[in-house]
Amino acid sequence: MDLNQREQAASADYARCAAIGARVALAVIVVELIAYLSGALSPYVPLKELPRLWHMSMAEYLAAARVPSGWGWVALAGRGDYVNFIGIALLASITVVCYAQALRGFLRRGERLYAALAAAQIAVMLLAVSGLLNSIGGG
Amino acid sequence: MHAANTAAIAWWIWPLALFFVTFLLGIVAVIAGVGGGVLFVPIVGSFFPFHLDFVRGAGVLLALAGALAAAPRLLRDGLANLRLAIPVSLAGSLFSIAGALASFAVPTHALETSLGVLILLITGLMLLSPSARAHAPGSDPLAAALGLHGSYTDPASGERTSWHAGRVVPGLLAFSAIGFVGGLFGLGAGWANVPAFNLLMGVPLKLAAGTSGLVISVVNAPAAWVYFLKGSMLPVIVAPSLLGVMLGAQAGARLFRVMPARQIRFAVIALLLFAGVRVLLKGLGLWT
Repeated sequence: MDLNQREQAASADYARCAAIGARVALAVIVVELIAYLSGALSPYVPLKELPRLWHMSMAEYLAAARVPSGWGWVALAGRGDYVNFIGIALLASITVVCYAQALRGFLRRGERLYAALAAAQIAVMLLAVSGLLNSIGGG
Repeated sequence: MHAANTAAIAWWIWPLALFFVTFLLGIVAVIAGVGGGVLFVPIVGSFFPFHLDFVRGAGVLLALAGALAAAPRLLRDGLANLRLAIPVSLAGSLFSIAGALASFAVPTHALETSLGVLILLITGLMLLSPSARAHAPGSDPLAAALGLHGSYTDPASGERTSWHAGRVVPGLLAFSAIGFVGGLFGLGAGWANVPAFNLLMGVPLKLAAGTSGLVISVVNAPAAWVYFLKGSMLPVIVAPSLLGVMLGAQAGARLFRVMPARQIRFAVIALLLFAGVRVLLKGLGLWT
């Protein structure tokens, strides 16, 4: 396999993964938004309260609305506002899933340098996903 | 916009207005050839009552969604190159996380002031015409080791173009700085990625523009997680904006052939100029 063929194979895998992921995540976001704004699922923070809160900084909002940060939202995922976070998390996870698939391809084709770069990228993303950085930078 | 002036307005007006505004932004972003995120943050940050923390959180996700939606087509058409994107995205990702974390330690007025200055700089960059031809870089052993060369066929002209990227280390430094700025302000960074690829690394403009979208979809993902887990994403802002920009981008793609792109590009530049001045004056406390 020459360089162009290897690039085409890696690109095709990545494109398929990104296309499916983006479609699924955006469909989930639409359904969740309808459930939220229609009142089908009652929100944790009442919609009428939001104009009093959304001009606050993030730190002030978290304290005033008594909402969790980090992965604390999972416990509230059944509420109308927090159910939207499932779609957001899906959307933000697509890249790491596609990179995992690309990593497998690089390893299969014996492209060790790109396998190492893809593995490093996955590690960086997982660090962000872990929430371990949450205490850095204030807020 | 002052909180006291907006509290009397029914809550549902704002997500509805946000949907319409982001729908229009989605249309003009496609026609003017700019990313939705770079329009969203200054415009919504200036004219809506939401705190900049939540606007930046939505902005980073908006740029990510737009780039993810475009990436598959660009990759299939050969106009985005995964091999070119991977090394610079790694550098950009590390610094986008740093930028996102740093943004919460910076006072809001300082962030607004620097965002205003940045938007005015971007407006200036947009007035300059990009170079269709790449400046050929000299030989670069790192580029050779990474296999940063190839060829692509332009679907519009059918012309096959060979390319060789170079100056990888300066490129990595540039993408680190761009990642930091993107993470700091919640912007997509197509306005900076394309010149970095094209003018610095010698990548042809079309491939630079396509690969820039792919880079945004990687670099913005860890930054989005930082904003998300910090708590700066409000569904009432994020969800209508995502829908508005997506639907607007689809409408924009249809209107692309019939709309006067040049005039719309100048209208966008004027709008960005106004939003940049507005957010700068807001940061300086001269227009609250």
